[in-house]
Amino acid sequence: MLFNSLAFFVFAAAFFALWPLAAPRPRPRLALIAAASLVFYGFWDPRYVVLLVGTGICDFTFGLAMERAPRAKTPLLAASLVVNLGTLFAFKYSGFAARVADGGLAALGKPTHLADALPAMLRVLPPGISFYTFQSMSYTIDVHQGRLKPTRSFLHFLAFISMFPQLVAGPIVRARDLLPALLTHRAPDAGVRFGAVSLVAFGFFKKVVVADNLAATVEAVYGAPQGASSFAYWMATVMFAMQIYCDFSGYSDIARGLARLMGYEFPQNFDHPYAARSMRDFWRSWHMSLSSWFRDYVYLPLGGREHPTRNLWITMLLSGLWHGASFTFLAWGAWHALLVTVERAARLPERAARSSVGRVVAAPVVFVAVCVGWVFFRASSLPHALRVLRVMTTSVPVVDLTEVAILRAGWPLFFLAVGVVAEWIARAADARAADARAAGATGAPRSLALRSVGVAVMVAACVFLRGPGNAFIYFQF
Amino acid sequence: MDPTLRTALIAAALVAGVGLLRPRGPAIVEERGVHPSRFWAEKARARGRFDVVLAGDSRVFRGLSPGAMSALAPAGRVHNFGFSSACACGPYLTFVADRVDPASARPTLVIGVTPHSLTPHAERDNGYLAEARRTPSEVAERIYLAPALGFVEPIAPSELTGALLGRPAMRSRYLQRYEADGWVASALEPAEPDRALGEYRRVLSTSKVERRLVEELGGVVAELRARGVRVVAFRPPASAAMRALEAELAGFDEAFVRASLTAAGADYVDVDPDAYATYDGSHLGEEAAVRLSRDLARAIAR
Repeated sequence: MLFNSLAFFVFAAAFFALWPLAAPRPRPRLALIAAASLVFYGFWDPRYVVLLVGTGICDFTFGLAMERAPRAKTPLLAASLVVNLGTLFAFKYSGFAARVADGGLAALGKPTHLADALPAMLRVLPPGISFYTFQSMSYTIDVHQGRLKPTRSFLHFLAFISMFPQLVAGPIVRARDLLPALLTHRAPDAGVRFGAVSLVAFGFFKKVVVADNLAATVEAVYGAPQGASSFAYWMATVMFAMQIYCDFSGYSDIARGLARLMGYEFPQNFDHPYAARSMRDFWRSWHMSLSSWFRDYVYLPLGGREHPTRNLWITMLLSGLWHGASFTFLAWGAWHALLVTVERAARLPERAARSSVGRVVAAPVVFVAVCVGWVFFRASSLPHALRVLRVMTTSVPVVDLTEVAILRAGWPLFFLAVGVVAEWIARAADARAADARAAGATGAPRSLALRSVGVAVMVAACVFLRGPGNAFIYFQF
Repeated sequence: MDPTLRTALIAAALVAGVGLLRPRGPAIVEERGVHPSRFWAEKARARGRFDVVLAGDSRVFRGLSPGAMSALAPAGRVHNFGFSSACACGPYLTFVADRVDPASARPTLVIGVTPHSLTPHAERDNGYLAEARRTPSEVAERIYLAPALGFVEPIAPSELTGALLGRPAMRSRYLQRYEADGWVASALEPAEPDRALGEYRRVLSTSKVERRLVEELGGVVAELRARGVRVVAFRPPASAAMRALEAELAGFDEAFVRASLTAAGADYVDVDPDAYATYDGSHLGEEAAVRLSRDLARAIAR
């Protein structure tokens, strides 16, 4: 079920009507979360529910077994990883692996048809499988490390892995944070409720007004069979940067807002990443729940700073592959690994901070570098990405009048500007809120009435300025 | 007052206000008849069968009126299954072929063959596929709710600026009447005889007529003939400038298409393109569409 569908509005209305009745007592609360989440997920295809529950049964059982047989903890963790990563591989990577093998063997003169032989069910990626697999793995890893006591209630565990606000596109919530939280309930007060509704409204605004209205132009340029000019590619890539940010952070905001309405707090997933002054800053503020997952469960266990460059490259390449089974995502991960490596080696952030020019140009330079990475992310194949990059870097981006029609249709520049202004306002508001917290301010902000009007305007904009409905980009991961 | 409630009230007032005061005139597109969302959703999921099925792209769904054709018996039950950018190939051909009633005394499939309908662009991206791929909840929304949700339909920024500046965003008004029989009676006021050329130039400069698609269509024609279905093919009229552009950019060779389809068993009806004026270089207005429908019905009856 998509957040931006009528079905979801009906679903959410029913859920939040029942929530106050079920939430005060643990069993009804967990039962409602699990049941609603399975309905939410099964709306795509009821068979996916079997996969989700099956993964859950395995990890729940492994967790209990680790507690009962501490000596077998490591083999049990290995079994859990095999189940989780095996499922992920089967559904997400088997087609890619088969195509690569077919290509390799054909080059050796031994043609095979492994990709065609794959069962049909493996050719469709269940929505959000990468998110809930990682979330479920965090449970068995934390139990293995002794950071978490396994739950004895399957209902409790099922509510944790299936919780609908973040089930299909995050934020990835750690078991040690959410499992204990689900055992408690705190009804949100009026201020928290308003904050939650504001977050949901802002998330929808970013998704349906900004991202969806930019999508068609990005597709028109990147999908043009004859290719486009340097100018059009640069414009479309900047628009894609805004589209993917608004799409994904919009989803995260909606998820966090819905959780807050239920009385739970999900981690922040984005912190104005395009204002980053270094690549490290960018990764501290982009998809933060995934970055910290990779840091804690891949980078640090590999030895972290003992072999920083090797571990960075492994982590970044895995992060790229997590996004999709394609050489383009691998190249995207490699590009970011290269940028961070160069930045570290040349100590660029420190040098930029020492000069006034460096302080001014740092954020734009980081943004351009990130945009180059987005070309790999958006292109349909690695050769396509390289073609686009060649055009972008070898010709001067002069305004091409024959392509102005593309950039005028649907008013993408207007919606790009809307996205920039919205992000600027949100960043200023976050900074003010942080200052207020630092100053120990309490009570409702003075501008609450103004905020009501702002949120209402966003709601009206979602209704009347919404773009053509699109699924969230990160669902495919 | 609870801030959430206050926000909800302000939002409701804003939505109601904008919905009531939204820019209305002069409308860029004026739609009548069946609600467009419902029209397309139901058309793509039609289960009924007909004596005469009309298939093709927008030149067919705007250019052929089943009402005008069935008035000239013995056409019988006629339905227009044209879709935007429809490809004379693949799932769409299967769909329209299934709509022909095999129990009919004269089961007939009428295919409007345009150059674009034989290109990879149409094969990849067409109105039928877009509609057929919708999820059940989207379909339900389009059929049952969309007509009631007209109040909150999106407003294009160009409409807003047009309203603010006191001028319509485009020079002409597009009038469309969606009929239950699948026809969209259309008009552009005032007509812009070259309006469609730019878009066709953009598409056809990279997507040419492909021989394999012509052969695929021929294969389907032969199969239908073997099942006792008569297939009538024709090239929907377009302006002289459009035909020249299609010949130059798409590489459309009507003689070859005609020969291929005739060899497969189709009856190819020659339509005089200059006898029917288009309003944008590509589509017929209501009066011309009714005239073409009658002329084609007579040709089929012969």
